[in-house]
Amino acid sequence: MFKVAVIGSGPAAFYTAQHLLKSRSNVSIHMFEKLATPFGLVRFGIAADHQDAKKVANKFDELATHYQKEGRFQFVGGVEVVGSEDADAVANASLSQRRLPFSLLRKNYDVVIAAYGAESAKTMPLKQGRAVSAHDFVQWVNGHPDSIGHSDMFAHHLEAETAVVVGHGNVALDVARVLLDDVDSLRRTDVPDNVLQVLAESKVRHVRLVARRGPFQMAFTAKELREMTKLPNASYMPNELLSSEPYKSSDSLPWLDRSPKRLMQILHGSGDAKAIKSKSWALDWYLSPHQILQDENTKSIKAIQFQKTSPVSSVVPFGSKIELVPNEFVDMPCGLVISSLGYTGLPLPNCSEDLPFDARSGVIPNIQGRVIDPATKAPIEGLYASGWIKRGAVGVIAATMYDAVETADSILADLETAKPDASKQGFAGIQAHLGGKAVSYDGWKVLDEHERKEGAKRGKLREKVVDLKSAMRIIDMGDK
Amino acid sequence: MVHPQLLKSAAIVDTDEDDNAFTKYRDKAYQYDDEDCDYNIEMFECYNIKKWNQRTSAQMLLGAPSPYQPETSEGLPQVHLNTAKRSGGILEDVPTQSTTFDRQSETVSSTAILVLINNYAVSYIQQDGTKKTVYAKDGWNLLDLAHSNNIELEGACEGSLACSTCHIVMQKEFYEKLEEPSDEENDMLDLGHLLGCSMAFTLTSKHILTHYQNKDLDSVAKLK
Ligand SMILES: Cc1cc2nc3c(=O)[nH]c(=O)nc-3n(C[C@H](O)[C@H](O)[C@H](O)COP(=O)(O)OP(=O)(O)OC[C@H]3O[C@@H](n4cnc5c(N)ncnc54)[C@H](O)[C@@H]3O)c2cc1C
Ligand code: FES
Repeated sequence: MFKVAVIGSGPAAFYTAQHLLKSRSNVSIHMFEKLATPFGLVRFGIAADHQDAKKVANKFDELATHYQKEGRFQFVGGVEVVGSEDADAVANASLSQRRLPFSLLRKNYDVVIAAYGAESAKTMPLKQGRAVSAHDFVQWVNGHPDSIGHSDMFAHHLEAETAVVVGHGNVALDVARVLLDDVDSLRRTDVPDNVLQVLAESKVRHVRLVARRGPFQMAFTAKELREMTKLPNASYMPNELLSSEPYKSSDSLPWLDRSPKRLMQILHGSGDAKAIKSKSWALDWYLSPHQILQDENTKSIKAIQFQKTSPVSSVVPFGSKIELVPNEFVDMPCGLVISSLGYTGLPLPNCSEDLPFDARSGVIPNIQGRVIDPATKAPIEGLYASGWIKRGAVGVIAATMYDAVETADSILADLETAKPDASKQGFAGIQAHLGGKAVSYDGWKVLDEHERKEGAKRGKLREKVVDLKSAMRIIDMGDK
Repeated sequence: MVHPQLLKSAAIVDTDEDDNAFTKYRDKAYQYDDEDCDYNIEMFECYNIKKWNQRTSAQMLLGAPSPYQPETSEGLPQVHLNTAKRSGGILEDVPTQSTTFDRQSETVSSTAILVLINNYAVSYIQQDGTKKTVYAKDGWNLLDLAHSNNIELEGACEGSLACSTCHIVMQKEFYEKLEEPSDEENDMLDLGHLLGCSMAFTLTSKHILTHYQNKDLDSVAKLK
């Protein structure tokens, strides 16, 4: 058996594992996940009103169940893989914060795959004031353990009538939909009860989505933008910029890609001024966030000030390069500012030597999934990357799947000429360092069932156990 | 109803297991293809591109319906000419040499397509490049069809038109004969591609194939 360790248990981890397990019978996989629960952003990122997209978890569940029975798959939850650390400290850590040195994985497995995602939010530089991060908002709505206790904070934020979301990507739309849609549309999903309560009290009526660059640089997918134009309670307020050239005749621009063309078609075909709904949303372009303006006395947010930008017209596609317009500022009144500038990867905590990392692009340097030494560009034997930490934080699950298959293919090709290393002990070599029991896949199933039961009582899909300690208690009681 | 003349023509087509035979046969079939006929026969090229960079071509053969519904096991028709013959009826005059019909075989006998298949034959080219030909009934979509035949085609959202992992590519020439995909499907695709879960076989459409939108998938499931 080739012993394979995967760090992370999101779509990249599962799709890579699937391809390996199906292609070779002499591969066994251990999947290390820092949280108690598998599936990564499927559980904690994908929007609650996109339950169809979350169904992929069923596929991963089938896979895990099947190969666990075969004895070739094991989930090791509640274990964070970190850089080289004092082994004693690791062994003594409490159950909910178990940490496993990366070097131990390397020592005990033939193949190590980094598939731990790109979980950090890019921050928005401001001269003054701080924006709420879309990352935190999404985690809160999805019941991520890190969002425990955030409901009070968001209750306060959602007293604003107008919210400005900076960034033109799908996550910005996910946030906008939660703010604009009727909370009733979320009641049957997996949004935690206390979050629903806060959303029900939200005063937000108007959302403006703002970007530094132009309409042709919007990074939405057509599907999500169309969904936005069909919100039952919120009307789209067209921006007059779109009725000017070159945006007006985007369809006939030879240098414009299909994707921005499609987005423009959707916008051109939307916005019926007659059907005014109780809420509204709008898009703004060529504005660079400058500072947040607060009321002197109450300290509450009054507006966000932008500096205007303008496209460098010689650069095609139009708007891809912009410059700040000196001394031209715009104040946009609002009570809440959310920054949604995307995600970026981080190195494993305290891990500098063993696993290379390119801080500039936020990924692990690799060629087709083979991690390379940044200096020599030579592949490091037995070390691979997959998913967002390999490619950067872009792309839907389908893209992550293609990417995972590429990595798996590289591994499979390398295994053709390799022999399992007898000195690699696999899980036996690290068990002692874990200092107790990790969450097994059966353990997760206990929690899963608990959540579904609690959800059923409330007429919803599931009621997530947000607090990690409670989750561990439920798992421990059920998984003997 | 199957056009009796078409059936006859099927009987005289050489059942050489190659595509030329099919082409020959198809040309014959076209002679009888008129407005009143509720069948049609087409040949499709499609590509399974689960692996982006390793596009492999797939041939999808669509046969006309026969009035005969073969026995089914687990929802899928067991196609075998002997069975067909035993059931008697209109298939009597089919030459016996076309009884050698292998569901797993790489090529499909074109005669068999017409007379045997309850509705449609579809060949998928799989990731390893091999072709697998299977049979679909009215109302099946390409994703369900693949899955019921152990053909690998991802379907992460279980056919909800939400994930685009069931992506299939079809040769443009044939793709263009399909009805326009819905806006929703189109949003998720590049030109010339389609989603396996959105395309269902139906006889009601002139083009045989209709795009089912999300909401119609329930009815597709019922048809199964
Ligand atoms: C807000 C948001 C909404 C999205 N919505 C959609 C959508 O609707 N449809 C769609 O198709 N795609 C959507 N995506 C994209 C999709 O989520 C990604 O393509 C996919 O999740 C990337 O997979 P991954 O496995 O690389 O990373 P992740 O899903 O992030 O998985 C990484 C896993 O690694 C774990 N981990 C992190 N560090 C460690 C460590 N040190 N040790 C052990 N484990 C660790 C994490 O806890 C996590 O479980 C969305 C993304 C975001 C951010
Ligand atoms: S299975 Fe998800 S779009 Fe077809």
